[in-house]
Formats: sequence, structure tokens, C-alpha cells
Amino acid sequence: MIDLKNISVTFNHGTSTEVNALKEVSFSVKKGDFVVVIGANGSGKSTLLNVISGNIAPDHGEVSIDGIDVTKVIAHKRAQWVSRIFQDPMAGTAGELSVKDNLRLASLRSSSKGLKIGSDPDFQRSIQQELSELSLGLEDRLDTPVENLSGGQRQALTLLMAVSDASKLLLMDEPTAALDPKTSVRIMDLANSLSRKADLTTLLVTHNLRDAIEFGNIIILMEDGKLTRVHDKGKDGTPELSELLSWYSGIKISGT
Amino acid sequence: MYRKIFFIISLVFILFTTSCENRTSKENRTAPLVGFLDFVQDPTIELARKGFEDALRNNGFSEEDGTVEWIYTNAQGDIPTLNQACELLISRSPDLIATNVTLSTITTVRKTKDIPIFMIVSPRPDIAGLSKDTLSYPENLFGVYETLAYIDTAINMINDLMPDARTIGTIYNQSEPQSVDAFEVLSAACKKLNLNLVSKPVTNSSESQLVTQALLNEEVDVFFALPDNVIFASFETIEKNCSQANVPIFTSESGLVSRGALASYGADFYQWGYQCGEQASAFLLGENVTGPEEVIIRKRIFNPAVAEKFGIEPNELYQPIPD
Amino acid sequence: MEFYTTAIIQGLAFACMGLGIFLTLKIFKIPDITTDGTYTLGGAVTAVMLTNGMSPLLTLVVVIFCGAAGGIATGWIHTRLKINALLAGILVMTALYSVNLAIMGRPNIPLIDDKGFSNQNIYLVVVVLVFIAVFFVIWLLKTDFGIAMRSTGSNPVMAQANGVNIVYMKVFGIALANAMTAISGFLMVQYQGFADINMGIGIVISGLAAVIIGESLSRIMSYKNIAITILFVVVGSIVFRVVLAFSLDMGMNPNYLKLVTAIIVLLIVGLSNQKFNKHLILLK
Repeated sequence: MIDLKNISVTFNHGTSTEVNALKEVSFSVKKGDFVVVIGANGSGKSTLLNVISGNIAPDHGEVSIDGIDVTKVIAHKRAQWVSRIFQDPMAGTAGELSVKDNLRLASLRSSSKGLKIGSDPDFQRSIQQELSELSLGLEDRLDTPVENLSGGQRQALTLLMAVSDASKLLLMDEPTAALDPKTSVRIMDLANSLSRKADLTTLLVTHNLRDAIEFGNIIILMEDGKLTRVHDKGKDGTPELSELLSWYSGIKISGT
Repeated sequence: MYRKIFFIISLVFILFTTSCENRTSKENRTAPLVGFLDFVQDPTIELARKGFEDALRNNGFSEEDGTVEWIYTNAQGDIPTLNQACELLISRSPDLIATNVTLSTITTVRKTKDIPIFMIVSPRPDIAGLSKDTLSYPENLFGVYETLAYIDTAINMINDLMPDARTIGTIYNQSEPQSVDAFEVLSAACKKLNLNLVSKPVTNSSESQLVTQALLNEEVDVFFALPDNVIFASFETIEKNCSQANVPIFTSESGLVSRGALASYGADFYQWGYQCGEQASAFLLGENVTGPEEVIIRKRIFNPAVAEKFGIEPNELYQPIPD
Repeated sequence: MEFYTTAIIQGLAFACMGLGIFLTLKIFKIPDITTDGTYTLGGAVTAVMLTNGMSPLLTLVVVIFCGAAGGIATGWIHTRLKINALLAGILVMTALYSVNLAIMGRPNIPLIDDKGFSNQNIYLVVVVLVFIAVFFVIWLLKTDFGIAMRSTGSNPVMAQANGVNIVYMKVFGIALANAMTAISGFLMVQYQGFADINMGIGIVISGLAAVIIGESLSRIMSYKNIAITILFVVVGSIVFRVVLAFSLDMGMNPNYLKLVTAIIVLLIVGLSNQKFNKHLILLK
């Protein structure tokens, strides 16, 4: 589903603050895979996601989604294949718009936003159905501006929006980083069930090693801009927490 | 919610009733009511108002003695406010409205066909677009206008006092209709007299220094100052530069002669206002006033100190300004 | 009463500009002050076309396109050249001064012989146009396109992630807003009887006041409905003009006109402040 070939990204090239965020990264993700990306801060995890979503253009290398070369495709056009969940629970929804309007926008992600008034009773009924399955009470608050909702509710809504229009790829960048433990569990369970149900290829960036154990079928480790380890749970089994930790401590500090 | 609506409606109601207080209807008036509509706040243009007031006073209409009542409004350079201020004057049913500068005149003419309008510092009505020709002026329009014919005479002044001058320099303001029209008359006059005209545009007084210097670099013999607010405001700068370059200034504004111009021929704002005031007084006294008339007092004035510097001796036609 | 009728008509004429500023400022969150330039542009084009005998309807269409063009220029400079929106607006506004002068050919064009809509008809035209503008904006914001517009202003990253071309949206928004401003110029030139090169100076304040007052008033009435908010922009524009008229009527020194107006507007905005609302509730 995703093919990355020799992707390199450098920020502030030529200046004193130059950073090589990604160095010749190549790897492939098959359709239906759930990949968990772990690594230290600054290892390039978020940059990797941004290259796939189109928000950052690689300095060289190729990105393909479902066999199509999308390296030159601009971010808003990649949205027809890619859904995103952000670290900031407020970032995935438009605060001033209502729950209904946010869901309406998401349902049009891959189509053009025309001049008809789309939020008709049929649409409303279908989203009420979906919202009630979240058991967050959102189905009664269709016209509430989402800025009045809690972080957890907004992130749940973002998840629902991510799967509402036929996208192929779900990118999640530390979706529970700003949420309390109980809500974090709910959101991850929801993300997992929704992505499995819609058969979405998923990439999850997380610092939570337990998520790496519990979810997904592939774990990859990013170190200092390079992809250093790919662990397929199908072949090598699910690692223990201590094993994952040892991957981290195997990180070499430059100079040694 | 209803409490709030009630509160607001009563506020509006109070505003309306208090504003309808001091309106003496026309019949109950002891003294005539005169409205004055000014467009900008400008010391030179203010002279016209002073002239108007003085003329009324000298004819027995003064506010201090209670023989006349004034309503004075100034639009502060804002056109929507001008419309509103004009409506204000009209709503008070004055005996006449004096309009100072062209925009005030145009606005008032559009808004009333009954109240007599006495215009000052405005061009001849057909030039201002108030009528198709010189025969069909609006019936309620009076006052004093200026044509630009005086500029021809002003140019002749240059021939008079400096027959060797060949090149005339000037700066003009593109955003003032008076300035642009005057500039065009100036161009035509220069062409007729075979004089070379060099010109540069300017938009505000801070540009004057640079533009004047650029102009002087082009070897002009004399500088002609057009009637324009930007030039009035920055005249000292213009004068200093011209003086350093040994270029005398001719103009159509007598007010500039005392500020350093060599000579002028043209209307004087104070006299302009005064002439209109005389007409208005005649009207208030019940005399017959026919319609707008052309400015009468145009003078030839020269500045003796400046004339001496340039070695020029004007003949008796020219009045020296008092020292 | 004619006195306050003037205020109401001018308020309505400026309401279009107010709606435009509402769109850029409140929906797109872009501070756009191209207004001074596009207002005069609308006026200049109107005067030139009407004095050359063209129909008012054709003039209106051309005016809309010209206003949109001005907005597109600002939008392009802001999105493509990555220049701050405020600066982009000032640049285009400054450039338009020369453009307008070139269009007019002279600094002032009077409309002789009541070209365009006559004095009586202009009242009707203003009301009809404002009506149409208000309903157009309300309808637009309800459509899918409108949702895309609103999301661009509310959360551009999210909008982009949902397939919205935010560059195109921003340019469109600024273009639409300036087209509406130009319509205000079209109306006012016919009301005041002339176009003047300086007519746009400081006019953006009238539009801003309309939006601010409208917002404050709708807060007092506790309305959150977007349709009502838009209607209140029109109300705000009228209130602003009425306040100005009232200041004049009070008969004080014209030099203090602007200060008094600012104070009264401040009072209206202060009224919508929460603390005061609490006092009002206590009155119940």
C-alpha cells in the first residue's frame, strides 16, 4: 500500500541549524498492515508521517500510495487516500463548526465541496447512528460547536471522521499524548476497532510501548533519521516490554 | 431576553426625543438661521468662512447681537459625514446654507431644491457638473464662483515682469480636482504664449521637498504655484528650495506672496467669502439676488523684499504687500 | 426624519462592505484592508460607466468583477508570495490608488442628470441589493462549499487534511469580500452623486464598526445562529451611521465628532460584555 524509496529530508539546509530528519529511508507497508512506529524524540517519526501525508516534500526519494507515485501530489489532494489523527486533540476538528458540520466535511474528503446544502435529514440520521456507537453522548449534540467538547470527545470525533469517507490509509501521530489514561484507552480501542472494521492500512506513532505490544502487526524503530529495525509480529512473535526497552537503550550516541 | 429588548428600545426612544428639542420652527424665529457646510479643516479655506461671517456682521447680522443664528458643521474630510451634515442643516430649515468648497456645494445642490445655497470656493457650476451649460443653473443656487481664466492673466504676469523667462516649472496634486483643472489651464496658457512647461505630480505635502528639487534640477526659469492644499501646506519648503536655486515663484494665491512668492494674481479666499457674504446679506435683507456671480476681487500683488532680491520692479498695477 | 433616513440608507449601503469584512475577518480569520482601494474602485468604475451611458445593471456586474480582481491580487500576494495578509492588503490598496486615478482620469466625477438610479429608486435598489447579499452569504455558508470555507478559517491544517484546497479558498474568500466592498462603492456613488478619488480613505473603519457592533448586539440578544449573526452585521452598519448622525445632531463642536463616535461605539461594545449582562439579569 505504501512504498517509500530512499526518502531524505533535511531542514534548514546549509545553515547552522541544519537537521537531517530522514536519511535514505526505504520501506514498504502492505495493505491492511497496522504499523507501530517507535523511537526517541527527534528520530524522525513525525517527519515520516508528514512525508506520507504530503505536508513535507522529501528532498529526494519517492513516495507511492497504492502503486501511484504521489511524491509530487500536494497534501490536500492526497487527502483522498490519507486520513490523519493529530497529537493535539483539538487539531483534528474545526472548533467553530458543529459536530454535524465537521462530519459533513470529513464525508466529502475525497470529493469536491459543491454548492448544495449537504446536511440533509438523511445525512443527519446516518451520523447519529455512528455517533451513538461511540457512547459519548455526541449524537444529541449535533449542533454544538466542537470547541465546547472535551479533548477526548474531539479526538473520538476525529477518529470517526477519519474513517467516514473511503480513505485507504490512517496516520496517527501520538493520538493519546494529551489525554488522560482512561480516555487514552478508549481512544486507542476505538482507533483499533474502527481501522480493522474499515480495513484501513494504519500507521501509529507512539511513545507508549504498551500500545506497540497491544496493537498492530508490525513494529518499526526509528533512530536518528534512519529506519533501524522492522519487527513483524507474525514472523517473530509479540515482543515483551523489556525487549522493546532494550531496543531503545541500544541507541548509539554519536561519537561512541 | 425581553428585558434586554425593552432596554434597548427605550434607549433609542430617549435618543430620538432628546434630539428633537431645540428646533425653532421657521415661523417662530426672531433672527434668520444660517447654515454653514464646511468639508475640511484647513486654515486657508477657513479664511473664506471668516470673510463670509465678517460680511454678514458688517451688514447687521451678527451672532453676538442676536441678529442671526448660525449652525456650523464640518465633515472633517469624510464624504458620508458630509452627506449626514448636509441633511442636518436641511432638517433645521435654515434661511440659507453656505457651502464651502466644491464637494459641499455639489452635495447640497443634490439634496435640496428649495433652500437657497450660497457657494464659496467652488468653480462655475457647469464646470462642477451642476448644470449642462451656463444658462441652466439650479434655481436655488447663488454664491460666488471662480473660473480659471485668471490663470491666463497670471501667466501674463510672468511675461510682464520677466520677459526673458522661457521655462516654467510647477507641481500639481493629482487628487484635487481644482489642482488638475488649474494645471490644464496652465498648460494651455503656456502653449499659447510659447512658454515651456515642466511639471511633476505630487500627492501629499511630505513629497513636496523631493519633487520640487527634482523639478529645479531641470533648469526652470520660474516656478508657478497652483491653488492647491498640498502646495499651501508645504509652501515654506518649496520657497526655500526655489530661493536657493534662484528661481522666483509666481502664483494665483495672494496668501502665498507674504510667505515668499514674488507676485500673484488671483482670488483671495477671504475676499471670496466676503463677496458671498455680501450677497447673502442682500438676500436676507429681502433684496433681489439673481444667481451665482463670478469672483470680483482679484488683485495683482507683489512682495517688495523678494522683488528686490531678483532685481525686478513691478509697475503701478501691482500692489505691494504691507511689510 | 429625512435626517435619520440618510443614516439608515448609508448604513445599508455600507452593509455590503461590512459583510465582506465579516467574511475575511470572522470566517477566514484574515485581516484584509484592501477595502479602501476596492471601495473606491467600485465607485470609480460606476461613475465612468454611468456617465458613459451604460446600464446600471451592466455596471454592477463589472463592479463585482473589478472588486473580485482586487481581492484576488491581495489573495495571490498573500498565499503565493507568502506575504503577511495585512501587508498584502496595504500593497494592493496603495496600488489601486493609481489604478483608480487612471480609470477616472480626473480626481472627481460628478453624476450629472441623475445617471444611474434616480434619487427615489436608489433607496429601493440599496434595500434589494443588501437583501440579496445577506441571503447569498447565509446560503453560501450553509452549503458544503461554505463548510469548507469555514473550516479553512477555523482550522486550516484540518481543512487541508480533509481535502480542502486552502490556498484556493483563501483567495476566493478575499475576492468575494472585496467584490462586496466594491458593491458598496457602486451604491454610495449613486447616492452621493459623485465619485472622488479620496472617497475610500478610512472607509474600512465603517465596515469594521459594522462587524464589531453587530457582534456585540447579537451577543446581547444571545444569538449563536450564524444567519442571525450575519443579519446583525447589517444592523451594526446602520447603528454605526445612526450613532454618527446622532453625534452631529447633538450639535457639539465638529472637531470632537470622531471622538464622541468612538466613545458611543465603545459603550455599545461594552454593553455586550458579560459583566454587564449579569447586571441585566439581576434586574429580572
